[in-house]
Amino acid sequence: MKKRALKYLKGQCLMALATSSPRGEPHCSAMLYVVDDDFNFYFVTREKTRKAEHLAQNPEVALTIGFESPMNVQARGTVRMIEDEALQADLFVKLADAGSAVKDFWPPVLRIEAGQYLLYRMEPRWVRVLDLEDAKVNEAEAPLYEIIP
Amino acid sequence: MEKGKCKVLVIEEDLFLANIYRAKLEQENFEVRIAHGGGQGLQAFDEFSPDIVLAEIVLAGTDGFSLLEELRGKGGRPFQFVFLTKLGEREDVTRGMQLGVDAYFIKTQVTFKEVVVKLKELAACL
Repeated sequence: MKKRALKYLKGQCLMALATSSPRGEPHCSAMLYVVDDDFNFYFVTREKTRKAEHLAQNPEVALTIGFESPMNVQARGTVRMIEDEALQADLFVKLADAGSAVKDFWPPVLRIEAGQYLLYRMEPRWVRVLDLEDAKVNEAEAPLYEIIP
Repeated sequence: MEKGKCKVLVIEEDLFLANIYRAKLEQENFEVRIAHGGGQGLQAFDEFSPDIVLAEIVLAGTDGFSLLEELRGKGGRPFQFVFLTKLGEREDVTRGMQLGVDAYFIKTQVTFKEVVVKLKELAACL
């Protein structure tokens, strides 16, 4: 399942990312992402966005991927900012390639004037997959698989 | 234009934006090289011999206007020069036209699809 989930995640490029302020005020954003083989998620935003303000004070996030497909992935974890310039340059290439795979998609982060880019890595503590592809679905036993931890 | 892919030199300081341009243009079968500033752009122009230069005007060091002026003064093989810029004042557009830009796009007023259509038209003119 881990392998299938990773293949699925690498074929997608958009996620919903939930952040919250230290007071618990929630916020949810559609984000371009890439994922590595260890299920770390990478994304970019700008410094004056609400999510960046939240992440500066509270690095705990949740995310979900898969809105019109038989697979859905949910994850929770901690976000760290990426400051290494070589890694940043590499991620810009990867994020651009991922976003460009979707025809006519233009990343929202390019449309807003909100300061410098900030790049992040989300290291998951928990990842769960809902796989509706092969399973017979019923309310009592949803085909949910925890793949991390 | 010689047979093969049309070569586009992208000169843009915004690293992410430059890579988005690259990825989108490669999908449209252009061969792309990125330069992150005016000085780097001049060097890349000599090495890459692009058919089209797609440049921001706002660049550290050599800005887009100076770049256009310098490249037009070089002579050599023909190429097209396009501004895709955040500068949208009338005097900016006029200055670009006076310097011989082939197309001028203001980032906030154009979709990249429209830019690609124009680049294909310009490539066909070479």
